[in-house]
Amino acid sequence: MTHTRRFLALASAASFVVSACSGGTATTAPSAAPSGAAALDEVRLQLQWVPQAQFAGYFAAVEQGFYEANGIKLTIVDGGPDVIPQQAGSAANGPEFTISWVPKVLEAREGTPASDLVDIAQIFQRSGTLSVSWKDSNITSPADFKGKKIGVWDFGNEFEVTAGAKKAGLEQGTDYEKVIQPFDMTLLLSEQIDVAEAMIYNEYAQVLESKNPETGKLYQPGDLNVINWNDEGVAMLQDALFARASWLAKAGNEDIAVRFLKASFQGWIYCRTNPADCIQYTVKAGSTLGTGHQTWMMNEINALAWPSPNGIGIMDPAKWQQTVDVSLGAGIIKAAPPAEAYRTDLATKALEGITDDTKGADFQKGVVEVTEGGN
Amino acid sequence: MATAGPIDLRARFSPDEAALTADAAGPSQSRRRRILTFAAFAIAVLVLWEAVKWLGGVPWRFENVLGTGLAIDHNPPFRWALANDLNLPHWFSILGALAAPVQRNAELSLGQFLAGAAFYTWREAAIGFLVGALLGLVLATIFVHSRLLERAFVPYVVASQTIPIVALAPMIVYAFGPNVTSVVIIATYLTFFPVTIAMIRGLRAPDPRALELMRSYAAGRWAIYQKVRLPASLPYLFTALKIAATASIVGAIIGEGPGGIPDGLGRAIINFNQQYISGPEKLWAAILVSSLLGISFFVVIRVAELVVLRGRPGAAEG
Repeated sequence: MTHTRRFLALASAASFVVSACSGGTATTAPSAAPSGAAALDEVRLQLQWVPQAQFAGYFAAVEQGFYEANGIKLTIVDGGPDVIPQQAGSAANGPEFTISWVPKVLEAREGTPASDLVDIAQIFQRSGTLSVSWKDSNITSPADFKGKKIGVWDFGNEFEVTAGAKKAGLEQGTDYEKVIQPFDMTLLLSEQIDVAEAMIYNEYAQVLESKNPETGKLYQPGDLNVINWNDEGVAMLQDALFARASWLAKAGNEDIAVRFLKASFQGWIYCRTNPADCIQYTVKAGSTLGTGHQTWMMNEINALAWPSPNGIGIMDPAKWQQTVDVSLGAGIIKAAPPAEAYRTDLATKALEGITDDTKGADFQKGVVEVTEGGN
Repeated sequence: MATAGPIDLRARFSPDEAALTADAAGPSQSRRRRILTFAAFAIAVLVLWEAVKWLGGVPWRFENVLGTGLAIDHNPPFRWALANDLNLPHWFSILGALAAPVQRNAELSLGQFLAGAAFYTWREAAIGFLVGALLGLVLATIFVHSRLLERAFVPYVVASQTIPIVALAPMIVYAFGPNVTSVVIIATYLTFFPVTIAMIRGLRAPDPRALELMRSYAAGRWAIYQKVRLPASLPYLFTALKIAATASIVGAIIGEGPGGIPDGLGRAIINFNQQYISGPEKLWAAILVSSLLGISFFVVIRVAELVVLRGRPGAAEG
C-alpha cells in the first residue's frame, strides 16, 4: 500500500518534469518553411549582440520580405555575452554571414587558425565610439586624459581610445590609468572613473535616460563632455558584413551573397525612410528592450550608415586605410592586410538591382526625445 | 523474498531506529511557527532595507507610491554609496517595475513577462536536471561497484566542476550550436555532480549487516542494489537533487547567454544588465523572479522527498 503510494508520488513528480521536457521540445521545433516558396537558399547571419536597433536593417528586410523576394531564407543568429562573432563566422560550418567590427576581423585574420573572413559590405561609414566625462572634470580632448582614470571596454573595443591618447602623446600607465569598464555606465555614474567609453547609439543615451539623484531630473547633454573619435582622426570602421573567402569560392555562393546584400541594403534603405517601422520590428525581436531607447538607437544608427557617399555597403578606401593604420599603430595587427581582405564587387552588383536612393546624401539625423529609463 | 521488502530490511537494521520519535509539538503547529518566523524575518529585512535608504540614500521624491497616493519628499541626512538608487533601489520600486508594462504599449506587465520567461527557462533546466540526475545515478552506481573505476574517474568528476561554467558555456555552444540543446547540456553539467558525489556516499550507506545478510541469502549485486543500496541512499539522493534543482536553473540562465536563446530569463537579465543605470529596478526584478524560480523547483523536490521518505527518521527536517 505505502509502496504503491510512494511509487505514484514519484511517478507524478516525474511526469511533471517530463511534461516540461515535451513542452520544451515542442516550442523549439524549427518553424516550417514559407509555403509555396520556390527553393530558397538558406543562409545564416550572425549578429554581433542581442537584437537591438543596431541591426534594424536586417530585421526590416526579413519583415518586409526582401530576403524571400531575392530567393534567400535567412536565419538570424543572436549574439550575446561570450559570443565572438568573428570566431563563430570563421568556423567552416559557421554562419555564412557575420556582422563584426573591421579591426576585430583584421586581428582574427592574423590569428591561429587564421580567419578568412572578407569584408563584403561596409554598412557603417562612421564610428559610433565616444569618450564621455562629466562637465566639471573639464576633459574636452584626449590631451586632457593626463593623470585621469580612463575607462575602456576590452575585447578589442578599446583601440580608438588608446590610439587617441597615444596620438595626443600620452602613455598608458605613466600618463593616464586605463580602467576596464563593464558594458554599462555604472563606473561613470559612481565617479569611479573620469572618462567612460560609450557608443553614441547606446550607452551615451543610457546616461541621458537616467535621473540625477540629487535633482530628480534626467541628466542633460550639457552635463557631459563628449569626445567623438571621428573628429580625432583615430576612428575605425565598425559594423560590416563579412563572409568566408572559402565559402564565397564555392560555385553559386557569390550569387547568393549578392542577393543577400541586395536584400540587406533594401532593409537599411527602408529604415532610413521608415524608422518608426524599424523600431517596431526591433522591439518585437527583443521583448525586454525599451521603445524610447531603441528610438534613440535607430536615429543614431541611421546616422552611422547614412549618408553613404558611394552607395550603402561600398568601402571608402581612405577609411579602410585609417583603420589599418590605427590597428598597426596600436599593435592589433602585425602587418597590413592583403588587398583581398575587403571587396566591393559583390556590393556593387547588389546595388545595381536597387532603384531606390542608395546614398542618402541628404540624410539628416533627427532629434529624439529622451525618455526616462528608455521606456 | 517478496515479503522482505526493501524498506523493512533497512528499518530492521537501522542504527537510527531508536531516534525514531516524532516532533514533540504537532507537525502542523511547528509548520505554522516556521511560516510565522519566516514572514517576520522577511518583513524585518524590508524595513531595514528602507531604513538604510532613509538614512543614507538619495533624496526620496515620490508622488504616488505603488498607487497608494502616498507622497514622500525626504532628504536623507547621510549619503552612502551602497544605499543610492543605483546600488539599492527601493523595494517598492522593484514591485512597481514588475507591475509596469514590459514595453511601451505592451499588454503584458514585466512580472507577467518574467513569469513566462521563467517557465521557459525552467523547462530547459528541468530537462538538464533529469538527464543530469540520471547521469549522476549511473556514474555513482558504477563507482560504488568498482573501486578501480572510482579511483580512476572520481578525480575527473571533481575536476569537471572546477572549470568555471562561464568559460565552458561558450565552448559547449560552439560545439553544439546556439540552441536549446546547448543550454540543456550546460544545465546537465551543473546537475550531475552533486548527484554523483552524494550517491557514492548514499549507495554505501546501508548497514554492513544488511549487506552481509543479503549475501548470506546469496543475493546478487542487482538484488542488493535494488533492495538495500537504493532504498538506503534515498535521503542522500534527495539532498543532492535539491542542490541540483537550483544549480540546473543557474546553468540554464547562464547558458541562455551564449546560446542566443531569446525567450528565457537569461536574455532579460542581459538586456536589463546593459540598461542598468537607467532602470536598476528591472534587473532586480529579473533577479527576484530567477530566485523565486530556483526556490519553486527546490520546493517541488522537497515535496517529493516528504512523500517518498514519509515515516523515515529525519524526513520532516531540512
